[in-house]
Amino acid sequence: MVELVVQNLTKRFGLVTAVDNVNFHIADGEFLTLLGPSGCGKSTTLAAVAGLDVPNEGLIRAGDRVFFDGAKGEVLPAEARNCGLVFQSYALWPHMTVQQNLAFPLKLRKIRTREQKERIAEALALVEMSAYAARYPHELSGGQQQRVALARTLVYQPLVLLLDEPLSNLDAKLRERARTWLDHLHQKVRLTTLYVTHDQIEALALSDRIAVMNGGRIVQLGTPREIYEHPADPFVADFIGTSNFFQGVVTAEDAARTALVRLDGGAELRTVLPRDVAVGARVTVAIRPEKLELSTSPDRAPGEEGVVLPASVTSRSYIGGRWQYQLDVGGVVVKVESPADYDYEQLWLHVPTGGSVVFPASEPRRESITSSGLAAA
Amino acid sequence: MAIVQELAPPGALPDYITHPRQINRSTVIYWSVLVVTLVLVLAPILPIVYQSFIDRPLYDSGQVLTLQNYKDLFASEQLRKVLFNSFVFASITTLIAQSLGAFFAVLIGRTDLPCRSFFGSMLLWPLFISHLVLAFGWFLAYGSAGFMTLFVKSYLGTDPWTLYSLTGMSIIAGISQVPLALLYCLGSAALADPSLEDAARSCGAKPLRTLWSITLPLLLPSILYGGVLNFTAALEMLSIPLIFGEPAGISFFTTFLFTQGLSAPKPNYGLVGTAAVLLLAIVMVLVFLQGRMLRNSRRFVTVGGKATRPRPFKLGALRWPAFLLVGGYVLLFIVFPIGVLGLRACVNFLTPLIPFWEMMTPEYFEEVFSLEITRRAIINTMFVSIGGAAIATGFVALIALIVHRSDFRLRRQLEYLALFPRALPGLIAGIGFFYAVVFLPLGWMRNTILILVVAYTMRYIPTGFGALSPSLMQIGPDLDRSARVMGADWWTSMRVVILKLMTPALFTCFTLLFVHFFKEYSTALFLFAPGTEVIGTALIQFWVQGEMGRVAALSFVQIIFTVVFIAAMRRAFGVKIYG
Repeated sequence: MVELVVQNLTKRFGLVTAVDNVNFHIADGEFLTLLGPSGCGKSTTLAAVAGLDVPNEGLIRAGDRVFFDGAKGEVLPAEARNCGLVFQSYALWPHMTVQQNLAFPLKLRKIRTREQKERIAEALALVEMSAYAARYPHELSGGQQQRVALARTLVYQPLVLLLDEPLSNLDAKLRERARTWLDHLHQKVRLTTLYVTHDQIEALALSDRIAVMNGGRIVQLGTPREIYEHPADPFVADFIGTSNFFQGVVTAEDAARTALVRLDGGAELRTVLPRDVAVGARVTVAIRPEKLELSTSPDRAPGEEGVVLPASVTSRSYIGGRWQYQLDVGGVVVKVESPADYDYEQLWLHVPTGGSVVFPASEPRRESITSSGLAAA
Repeated sequence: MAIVQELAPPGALPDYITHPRQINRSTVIYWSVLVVTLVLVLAPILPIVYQSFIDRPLYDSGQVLTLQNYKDLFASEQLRKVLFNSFVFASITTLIAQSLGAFFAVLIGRTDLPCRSFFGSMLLWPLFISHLVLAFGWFLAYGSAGFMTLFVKSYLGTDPWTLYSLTGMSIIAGISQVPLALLYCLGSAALADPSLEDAARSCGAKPLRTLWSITLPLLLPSILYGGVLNFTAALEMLSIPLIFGEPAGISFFTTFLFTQGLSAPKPNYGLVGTAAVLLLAIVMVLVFLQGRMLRNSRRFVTVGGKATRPRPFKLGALRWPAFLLVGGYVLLFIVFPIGVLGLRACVNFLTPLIPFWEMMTPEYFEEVFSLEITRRAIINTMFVSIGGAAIATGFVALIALIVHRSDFRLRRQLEYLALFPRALPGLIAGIGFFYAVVFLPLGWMRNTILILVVAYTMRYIPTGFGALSPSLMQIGPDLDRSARVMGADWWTSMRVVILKLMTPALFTCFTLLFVHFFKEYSTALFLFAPGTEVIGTALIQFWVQGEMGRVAALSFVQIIFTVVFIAAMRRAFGVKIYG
């Protein structure tokens, strides 16, 4: 078990740069997730590490073993990397039983039959599939196939474990169970793991660290908590969880970097400024829906810091246990969930000072954010 | 930390993991296959091209490079006639084949014609039979002394028709090419997706109107593509021009090459080589056209969503007339010629004027199994077909695996190379290999059936490749990638995973190649020697000698062997070819 280092990785397909100068370092036993929308380059990065795709530039190394070195033109073929890759499609060989599927990598490593049997039994026990050794893949359910695929990878003790959206073919309920189970498994085996997904819940729940990718680049790399609470740009704020966005100009600032932002609709917000934003700058303010509170009165609760904005209700719908409100706050559409059923046209939105994140407005943002000001779920 | 680390340490890794090298066995396989394919394709072409530019046979010393052969060829009156005949023949043949093929395809694919699946297999069935044998059947049934000809003549008093004309020959060739046209039309998505027709009918179009305005135009790309294939096949065809054209003094490209190169007492090598180059160039243009059309025709492919069960058109009152029409066609043009061929093999003399049972004789069938030449021909054909098809299947499988499943950087080029033999008519391939064994250090291959195996393999690489590619592309790419990541090199992952999964396709490919090898004759004409005859060459020898009884008996034996083999493969391995 080793660290995995990826430096300056670049992969172009014709004129398109699918992976653009990507860097990360996974420590021994760490679980790192590449998270991003489809087409962001995460799977191409994984394929480059596995050796299924040859990048154009960069360096990939596991411990002191160099997988790829663009400068020297060295490429280690996939079979010589000793990686374990679990495919989205599981890629179980349909003409072999579970036992035979697991035996194949061991045969390649010339392990004696008796030892093969022991290790297969252990690997199957690890994924709780011991009873199914004699089955063919098509006789198993999706969740079982996924566990066999994982066992087939663990049985030969790869240097690093690579997982390519392994849960995406499972239905929602099963996915939740498999996620918990995968987390337990990783706690047990502690393999250096690179995990690729577009599902933020999976990424947040499983990872030691997350690298959020967009347009071939890593836009933020950090622990799940850092990424959620301090998104580096509006894209991350929007992609991880949900955010409401407001546009405005910073009008005043005090010594504690608490500032006033005049929103385009005329209202004022109180927020905490990041270091690179000064008074007079145009900014985008992102606020998580759970930080917002609705109430029927404009009065602040005792001890509450922040501002209270008037909000007119455009629509509301019951979504099971909670109500979802769509509000108009000074011309900006805001979505808020609340357990309370308010049947009013006019409500008050409480925005706490510490609950918002401010980005300089010059940063490139996705169309949907600027055009609608809506938080995509 | 526990569980996985408590497992025993990993075993010894294979060499290619611990000491990866640039040259491993996979690259050795890639390059060997590429080189062998290149040699196979170039071996017949280079000597022909070279021969066309020198002033004497290519085994003679003192050769001088010259353009004289080309001047002679283009100056000759005969070439103009041969070109004219070949193109007229190919055009009429294509027209007949495509019209009938499309007509039957619509009847069988889209209507409630009674017994339509039976008719479908009957109409496709001639694909398994050699053109030579079909031509013999036509000769015996509808030739100038044919059974049906004499039968009708006995009522009319005069010759009812003659097949010894360009039109007559084109009709036979057209009918014998109908199966290919039908095959391509039946495979068209237009017949598989009824929702487009349903849309037309829900707009108020009557069934026949829908058939005419929707179904037929959608079928057009398939008809055109099959048309180019059939045009090429007619240009390359030797059997019908040889059997009907030569006696009538009508010369074609192929018969010109055959007579000038083989039966003439002093072959004009320069002229044969040059004519061969010309035919090669024409066919290459046609094959290029096929490639372009196939690419364009994909735009016409109708993309169906969920599978819908095609609802056939109701023919209504036309149902039974259509049945009689198709039934009559099958009976007259497929069953009857073959039946007469079988009958001719059992009698001394066949005429409608004397009841055939008075003339019964087992003589010809006895001869087929007692004559040295026919016995040898049958045994050689079996060896070439079984052994050759097995070797060819293995080789084509390697090509297909490299093209579709490897990271070999020349794999696209290998694919072009593998498809190139489509442009190489059998007769030309025969002449080419005939020159090659003189020219290249392959003298030891001469007069062995090995040269036939080599030539046949080269010719049918595209056929086998076409049979394997679709099934290979259906096997998900993750299946071999996962083996690679696990530590298997390319060859191991192919052997353990992909080849196992494509076993049914391999059997289909083998069966298809067997059928082609078994019925092949034109490639063998220039390559066989006493001792290495095959059924096709023995048939032509007997035909030239006028031994019609032996021709009929040997033809019939060839058909029986083919039928038995296909039935056995279908039963044993579930092989299905041509639908």
